Amino acid sequence: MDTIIETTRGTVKVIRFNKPQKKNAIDGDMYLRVTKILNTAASDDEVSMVVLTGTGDFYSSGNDYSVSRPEGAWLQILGDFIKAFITFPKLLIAIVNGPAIGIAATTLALCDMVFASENAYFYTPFSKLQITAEGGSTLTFPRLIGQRKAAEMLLFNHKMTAKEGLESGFINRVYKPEELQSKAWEKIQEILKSFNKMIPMSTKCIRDGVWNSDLPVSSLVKGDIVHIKAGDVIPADIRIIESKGVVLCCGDLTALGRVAGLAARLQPEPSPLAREIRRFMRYMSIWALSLGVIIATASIILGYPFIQTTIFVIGMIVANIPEGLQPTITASLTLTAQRMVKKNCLVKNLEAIEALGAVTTICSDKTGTLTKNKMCVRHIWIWDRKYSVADPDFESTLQVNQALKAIKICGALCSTAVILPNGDIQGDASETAILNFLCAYDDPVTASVHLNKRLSRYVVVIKGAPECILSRCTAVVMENGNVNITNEVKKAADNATEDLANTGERVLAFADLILDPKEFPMSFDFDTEEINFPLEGLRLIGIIGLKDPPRDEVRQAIERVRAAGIRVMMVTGDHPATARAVAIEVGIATTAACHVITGNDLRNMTSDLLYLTLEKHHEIVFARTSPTQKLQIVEACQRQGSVVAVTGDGVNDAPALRRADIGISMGITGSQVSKQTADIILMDDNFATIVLGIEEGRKIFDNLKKSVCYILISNVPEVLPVFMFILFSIPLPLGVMTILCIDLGTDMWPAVSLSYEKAEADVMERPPRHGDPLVSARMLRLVYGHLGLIEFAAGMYAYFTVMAEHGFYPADLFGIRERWDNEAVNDVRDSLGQEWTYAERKELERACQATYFIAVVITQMMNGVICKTRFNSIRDVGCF
Amino acid sequence: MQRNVKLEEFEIETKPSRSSERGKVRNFIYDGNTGAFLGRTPESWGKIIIFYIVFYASLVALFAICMVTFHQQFINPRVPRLQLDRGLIGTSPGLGFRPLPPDVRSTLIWYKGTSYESYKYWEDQLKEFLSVYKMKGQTAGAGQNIFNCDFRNPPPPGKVCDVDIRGWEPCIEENHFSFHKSSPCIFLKLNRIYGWRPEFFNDTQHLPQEMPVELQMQIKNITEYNRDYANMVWVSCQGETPADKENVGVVRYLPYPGFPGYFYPYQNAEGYLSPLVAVHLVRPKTGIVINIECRAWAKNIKYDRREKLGVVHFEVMIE
Repeated sequence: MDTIIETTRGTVKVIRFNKPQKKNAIDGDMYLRVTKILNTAASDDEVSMVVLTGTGDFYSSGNDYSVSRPEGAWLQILGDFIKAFITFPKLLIAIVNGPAIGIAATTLALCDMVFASENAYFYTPFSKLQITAEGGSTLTFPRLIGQRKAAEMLLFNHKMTAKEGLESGFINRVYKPEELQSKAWEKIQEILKSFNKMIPMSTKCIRDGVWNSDLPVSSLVKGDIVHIKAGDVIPADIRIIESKGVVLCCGDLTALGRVAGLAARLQPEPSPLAREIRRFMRYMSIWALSLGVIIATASIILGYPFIQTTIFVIGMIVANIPEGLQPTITASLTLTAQRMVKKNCLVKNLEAIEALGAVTTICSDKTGTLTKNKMCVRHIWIWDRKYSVADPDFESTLQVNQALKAIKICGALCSTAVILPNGDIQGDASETAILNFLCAYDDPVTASVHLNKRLSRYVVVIKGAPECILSRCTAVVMENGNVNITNEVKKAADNATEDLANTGERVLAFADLILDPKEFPMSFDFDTEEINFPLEGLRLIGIIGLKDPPRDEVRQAIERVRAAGIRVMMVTGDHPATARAVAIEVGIATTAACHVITGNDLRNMTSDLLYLTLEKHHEIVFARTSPTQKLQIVEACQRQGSVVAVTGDGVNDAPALRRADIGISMGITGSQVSKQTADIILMDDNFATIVLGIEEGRKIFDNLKKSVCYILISNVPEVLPVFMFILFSIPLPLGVMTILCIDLGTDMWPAVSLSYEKAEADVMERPPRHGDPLVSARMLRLVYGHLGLIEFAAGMYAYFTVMAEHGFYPADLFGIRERWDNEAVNDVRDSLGQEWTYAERKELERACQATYFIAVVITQMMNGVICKTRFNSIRDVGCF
Repeated sequence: MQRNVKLEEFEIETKPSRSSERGKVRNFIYDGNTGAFLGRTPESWGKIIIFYIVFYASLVALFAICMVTFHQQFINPRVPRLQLDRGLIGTSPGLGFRPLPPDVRSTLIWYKGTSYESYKYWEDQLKEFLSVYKMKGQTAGAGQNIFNCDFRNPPPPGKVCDVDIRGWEPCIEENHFSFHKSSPCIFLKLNRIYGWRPEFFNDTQHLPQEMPVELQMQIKNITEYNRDYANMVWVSCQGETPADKENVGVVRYLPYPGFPGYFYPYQNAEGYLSPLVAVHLVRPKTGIVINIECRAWAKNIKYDRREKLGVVHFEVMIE
């Protein structure tokens, strides 16, 4: 019996210790064998990883010295064995099906991943055996499980259970013994899948007359001749010569490379928010600086010393610049981005979320975004009836149908798709769909039985475009037998074809022909290149309509988006009829008469005409478009003043993604370039996620408006006291320090907290903000004309009150400044004849400024409540 | 919109412009279609103007109501709402001096000893300052309130004590306050604080250590003559530095080296006049700036030279 079983599963090499009678203890031969397998696998390109496991209920009980060998040989064997583990360059995974003792445990530490069953334990009783811990375990154990645990294990013979191993980080996962293998392999498959994406693409090519079967795509050069077959990714720009291709350009010089390069060169427009902020900041700065200049001039004229003037000007500028804005923006964008990630929307460019709220036009891809990117059989036409797969009693009606059986056989046979052992189907989208359909209504095993039956004779099965197939058919399968095809049948078939095509389905006809066994005996050599068998006089079995069905949630999402006043356009490379059908199905188009523009139409349009078309038609579907045309469409929309969001997944979408105000890429199907270019990545490729984004974006803008409004209000009571001071010569009601306290202290937090506000209910029922700037004239009126003045009045009232309480009645304050601020005057008389020294006066002034400050803070609290809502009543929203 | 040079391969034309800039401006000033003027129709303008009138009227009214209510309910026009320690004025009055220099930031009394033009300013300043003391009979309500106070007879409520101008001789108007003799008189006054009662240094045996010896001597002299005279807020003036002390020469305090206690407390009575002390610099050194610091002495007057509490500082320079 073999003590080591070596098997290969795909690219995974599996080594199994198979000596259950000795609890898989490893003897010299086994060591040598494993060492050899590992060393071979290390250099074998067909192997991506090695999995170790054991037979029975033990993983391995360690060393088996029963076969005696010279001392030196043992050391050599063990040394090589451990070295093979250490130097193994690929992934090494252990599925520990039971206890691992001694060297079995120490080599686990050298594996990349360890999955263990619940009944496994790890035991290294070296000190009991009075030998040194081997396998580098004195180094690896402390690293993995920490110094203390390692000491316990290596020095004091601690038996570590699987659970403890998981907690201490010795192993990756623990599974129940019975599901260990399946779960572990599931995990390994997952890892393999991620591998495939990392593995560099390779191609088969002839260079200098030498055949290279595995040349990395990146090392292709001009002049190489590449072989390609269906399903391959074209590795470079090639010219086809006799089913081979000569490489013309590679890398950045290819058409695709240029497109990607174009994306890098294109400058995206600054986001609407960035534009708004920049504009707002420019106005604010001009306003603050001019105020500063006015104050400086006035202060110099009034004879204030330079330092005092500087303080005034700084105070004035600080008062006017909304310091709270930046933290508010950052806070709200970051918060939202975090929330969006939870909803499968990765925001790369923070400002893009807000831009999404301002979106007026969405140019959406069809495949994968609006649809599931998975072909499904939707309709079957047999004889004279069309059956809908979605029909609930479809199954029962077709149960006994002869034609369906024929279709099953035909569909199963006439296919290059294969069913993988795990049940997945690999192959061309339509064939996959057909096989999927067949699986759903029949057991695939039965299909193979039919195959066996036909060993006695050959049957030609054919599928293809209905018009081609139909012309070759002379008979048709009916309920109970074959009938010769008539014109009526042909017409019916044609009608059905057209019918299905109009709803955007891909139509395939199926036919077969049973060959005469005499003419085509078992030994007949068929040649599909030079056809040596009849393809006429076929028997029509039926027609299948396939469709990439729209995602379930898309229709509702589009409805919401449209309700939010956003125009959704479909830009696809698909056939116009398909595009139109999908557009109608998902609600992009509401009538069948929606405007479809094909790539050819677009090419012939002047940009003015395109502009006018965009203005004239609200519902537009672009079909058969090229990537550069996508860019053209985006720019045309932007010229209209729209804020455009574009979804795309291919490399060729990158320019449009970059150019758009918001580029949205797909997380699953998206190419690297498109993900790099995009501002937002939809991790689930789902259009409905965009709606969430729009909602969040609008909320952000609403909240920002609230924050800005709140921040601006306190400018008024900060600036006006200085004017009062200059114009009416009263003691300064609000000092620079208190201004800073308001701006950087008490105003900052409420402003930031306003960005936490929930969306007001109607956020998606409004049209997109268009020409609704961050700070509108309306808001300025509210801020400077109403709320700010109320705060100022409150502050002045507080100020006058404190003054009056101490003896300075308001009437006596006007004009007092010169004496008040004069350090030399020690006896300024108040309204009651009391005389105040300079220190006492300044004390009083500070008290007044404090009350003014408090008044502003309290009124700002009220304003916080006022700013909390923009549309709804505070009674509906609630204060907290 | 700017043509993006990088996008030339995609045939991008400029946006067809709809209306010219000038047309837009003209439309903004007056839009014939809607009759809007500066973006608003006359009706809209009317509404917004009325709104603002009403809004601001209400705001002003609210402010006024608040002010008036507060003043009528909480403020007594003759008595401060917050007195002494309850307010910020405190219980430690500051000292003031007259005449004040023309530049409000300066405290330098500077003139040429012989030139009338030069000391006229200071004389005028003092004349103006002392006019109320001179014309108290003519001040409304002041005359009949005057009460003949002395240490045993403090004024009853509502009455005020008289300040005797004659007591300042030679520091009187007729004598040009002695400015012309290069021996100027500076008048000191204690800041009025409503309700403040001084705690006198009236125990001649236990005068504070830091009190100048001359003042201590004078206090002893005065109280020997009449013990009641001990109830005074004492005043002393000195040069700030040893040099100043030398330069300032003999200092006389008229009529007494202090403010008589019966002037306190100040209760804002009609016609109240602060007591004054004329500080006569009998023979100050000329041609040099002399820094003089005057201090008021009472147990409840805090003194801190750095914070300028309880002291007044001025400079005298006579050429």
